[in-house]
Amino acid sequence: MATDPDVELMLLVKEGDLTAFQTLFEKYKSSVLNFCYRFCGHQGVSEELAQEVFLRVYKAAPRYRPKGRFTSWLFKIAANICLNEVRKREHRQRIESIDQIMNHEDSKKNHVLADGKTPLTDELIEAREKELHIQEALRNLPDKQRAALLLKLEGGFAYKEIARQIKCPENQVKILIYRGRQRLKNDLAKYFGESK
Amino acid sequence: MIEKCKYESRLSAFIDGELSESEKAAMLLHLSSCEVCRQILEDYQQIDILIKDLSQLEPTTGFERTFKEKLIAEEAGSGWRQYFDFLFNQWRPLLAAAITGCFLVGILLYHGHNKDSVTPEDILIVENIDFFQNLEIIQQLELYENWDSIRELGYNT
Repeated sequence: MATDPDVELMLLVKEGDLTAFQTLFEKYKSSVLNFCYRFCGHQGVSEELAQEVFLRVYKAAPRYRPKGRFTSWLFKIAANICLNEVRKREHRQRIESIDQIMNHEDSKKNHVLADGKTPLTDELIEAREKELHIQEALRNLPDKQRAALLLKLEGGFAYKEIARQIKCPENQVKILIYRGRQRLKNDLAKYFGESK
Repeated sequence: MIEKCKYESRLSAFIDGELSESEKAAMLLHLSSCEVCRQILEDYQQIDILIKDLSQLEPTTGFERTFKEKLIAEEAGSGWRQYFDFLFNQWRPLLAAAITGCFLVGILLYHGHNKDSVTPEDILIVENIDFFQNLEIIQQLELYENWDSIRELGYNT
């Protein structure tokens, strides 16, 4: 634990060091934001959720006691906030639309061809529709399956850590991830082989 | 239809590196002979690639500014909470005495006000006021009926 530099930074935050907090914020804002985005599928909402994650970190700093990796604790907060948010929004209609991804300037960067030129419009639309479909397939997973799978794939956490993060037994994490993959296998089969 | 293999449920844990050494060895041995599991393993790997390849969202320009505003608001909020906590904790005996005082003054005022209030006797009088009015009329009628005698008495005196 003492070897985790982020834990050291968090201990400084605990003592009131705002620069340390700023460092952690800069380091993890993108990964937390993307985790929230994969989870809820809406940029505006995911920014609010990511901000809430860092606010919780800041508020919890006086009581912080390192029990593991800093990222494990950080994504535990993120997973809980996302799970609570979807519970609150369960009854509401999905707000995702194709325009949101079409207008997302930053995603363009990922569709730049190797020679530096942007792909043809049809290819661009196709690529974004594929992305939208993958996001949709992810959102169609039950909340805990989605949380466990994203913590594994986005965060790279071990099952043991995920179990602590989403508060369920390790064996259940194993089942959640297995079922999540099974379901995605059926939903996304048409894209298999493209990424090779 | 593809027959379901008993090893299939462990494939997910296998690619996540969550099997024990002996389980891993058994899985590798099985994979060398099972086409179905090899295909599923490949599909799972494809899923992981698809998700990991999703475009990364970058925070908008307002993200950090809004966060800082929220942080300042939180600080201000916690400042007021601390102030009220301080007041409540430091002045608790005085606060308790003030509340008790207010309570006692309230009781005294209530009883003082009740001194001028309507008593059960008053209610009886109000209820019988018609009776008293009628009694007065009757008395006047008696006076009228005896008016001649009274007048005569007046002249005689």
